[in-house]
Amino acid sequence: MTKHTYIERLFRKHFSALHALATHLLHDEEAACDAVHDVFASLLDREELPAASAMPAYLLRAVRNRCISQIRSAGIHERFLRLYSADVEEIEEGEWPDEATLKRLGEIVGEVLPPQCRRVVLLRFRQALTYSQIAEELQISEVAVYKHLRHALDVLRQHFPDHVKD
Amino acid sequence: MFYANIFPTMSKIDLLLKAIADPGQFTPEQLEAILADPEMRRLYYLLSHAADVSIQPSEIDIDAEWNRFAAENPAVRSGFRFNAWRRLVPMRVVASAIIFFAIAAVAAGIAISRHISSGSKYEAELSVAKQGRAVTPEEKASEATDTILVESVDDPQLIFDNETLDAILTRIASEKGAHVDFRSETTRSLRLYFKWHRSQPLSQTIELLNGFDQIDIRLHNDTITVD
Repeated sequence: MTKHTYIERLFRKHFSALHALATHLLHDEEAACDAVHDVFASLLDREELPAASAMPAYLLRAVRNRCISQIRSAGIHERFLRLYSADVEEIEEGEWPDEATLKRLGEIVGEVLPPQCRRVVLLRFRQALTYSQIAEELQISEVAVYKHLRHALDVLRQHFPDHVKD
Repeated sequence: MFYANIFPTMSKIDLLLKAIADPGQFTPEQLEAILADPEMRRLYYLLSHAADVSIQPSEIDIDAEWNRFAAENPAVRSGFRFNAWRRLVPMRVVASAIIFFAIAAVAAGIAISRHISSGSKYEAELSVAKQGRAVTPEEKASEATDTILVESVDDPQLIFDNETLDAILTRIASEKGAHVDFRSETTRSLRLYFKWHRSQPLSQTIELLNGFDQIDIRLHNDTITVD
């Protein structure tokens, strides 16, 4: 098998999972695509590739590192705007994304939050809309948007008391 | 700086929501102070991870992604670094191709410049690079960077230098929204010098590439078939 064919196979097999990981970390699908592309491009420059059995773990680690590098290089304002993790070490050590916590968070956002509150959360976090854009989209006031987010945060606090101490 | 000094009348949640809504209202020091507060850091942690789960990756069109990757990384398509074509193509076929191109090159004075008989302003230049002699390691190392000499979104033309027909057509097809179907591995690996005018209609580009007797390309709808 040629290197070209091998890399194409890897790309096709692993792209979705790697892209999902990068999206969870960077909160931006396009940036996530670029991160994964960068990793595969870097494979081209390697004289020797990792063993096939080690390749999935290698790719995950490489994408994770690429995302960490991007998060670290972002200024504090961009970090807040994109809600990048404040605990890069947690990502570095492979503790995040943690499947169990992701699942719990997903259930809370998807099932526990009231519908309008969930819509606000998704518009803010999934589509990165501003409060005023969300208000316009949902035909509510900015104050209402703010209250929904506040409520969402309260709910999250209740469900993850170990993460927030009053 | 402690968070309470930033907006003393605001609760921690309110302050955090304000910070993520418009961090530009805060100085870097104030944002750092927010994260330095243990409770606000935990709240931020929850928000950040809520964002992690809220953003569900869309379904990926792997073909499209691969094509984009290949277009941005010419070395992928040509397989230069492993010289894969040498392993794939039987030496007898390689020898035949070399002889053919050597004759063609001599006959045409190394390069074939061809003006479209219809009087088009476009000109195609086809030549065979480095045929009939061994490629040095230095050349091999430099091939990937030499491949496309002129490339910019705004450039009206691309020059493929010693690129495989596979790489050339993949790139052209990718920009023209077409699909390439190679039916011959030998033809796929042929290396050419080709100056491509990006605004040129695809049919005209195919006509130019067909200038080589060795190459037989047909265009039907959006499929480029190479025999």
